[in-house]
Amino acid sequence: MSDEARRGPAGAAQAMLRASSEDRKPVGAGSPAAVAHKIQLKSADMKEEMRQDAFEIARIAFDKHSMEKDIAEYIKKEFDKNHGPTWHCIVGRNFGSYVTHETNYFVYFYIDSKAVLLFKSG
Amino acid sequence: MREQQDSGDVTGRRGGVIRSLLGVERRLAEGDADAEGALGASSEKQHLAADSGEERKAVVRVVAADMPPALQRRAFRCARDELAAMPHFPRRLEPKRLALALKKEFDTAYGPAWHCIVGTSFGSYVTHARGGFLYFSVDKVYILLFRTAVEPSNH
Repeated sequence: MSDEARRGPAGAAQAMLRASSEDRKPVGAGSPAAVAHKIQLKSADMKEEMRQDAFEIARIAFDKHSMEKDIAEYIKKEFDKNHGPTWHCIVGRNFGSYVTHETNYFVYFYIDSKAVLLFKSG
Repeated sequence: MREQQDSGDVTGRRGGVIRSLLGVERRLAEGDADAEGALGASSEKQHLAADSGEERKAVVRVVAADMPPALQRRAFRCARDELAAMPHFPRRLEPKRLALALKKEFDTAYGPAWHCIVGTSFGSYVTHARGGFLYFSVDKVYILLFRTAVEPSNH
């Protein structure tokens, strides 16, 4: 039984894959974060509505969790549930990446001083 | 279809706190007990740079793996060689360059689609293809390399 056969609400997603990469360096010490987490979009291949959903889910994740892997887990699982599998999420202060994602399913943004990479593949 | 979550075990098995914590979800194509047990292996290996005038030892540690040993060794060699080729390392890490080198080598050698994350401070949660996951460190650089299944085009 292949999980690929059971795609989510997105329906028959195009299988065109494109490579994207993101790189970020540590930022200087900033002031304490406000209650509403500041979000800065850096790179996206994602429709506006889904992008906003990613930002909202990320805000919730940052409120609920403090560890990066827990934040990543929350975001990935919400997207697997709401937008069909399979999503992958990376959260951190210092990382670079090179990934292949499905067209229209990639976003990279900062929330406060941490970067979030969210993409769909597989 | 079974999915296995192993985000807690890795941390628990280690004596100290690791900077980059890892969560991973693995999809098993078959109910293979051996495959289930594969995740979470931890080992330490040291490699000497070949033909190096100066004996420079890069410490490679496997934090978590679900990958055949031969592929792991290839990842270690590729990462170590690429880091050695960076003129400013370790003063300045070029994570995107290393991520690209690893991804391209594995896409070329073993077929798409591979993904690579390199850094000193990040957490992750990914779903990977069976046998296509490796999370290791070279000195203080953490490297996550994993594979996902590529959907055939349906035009």
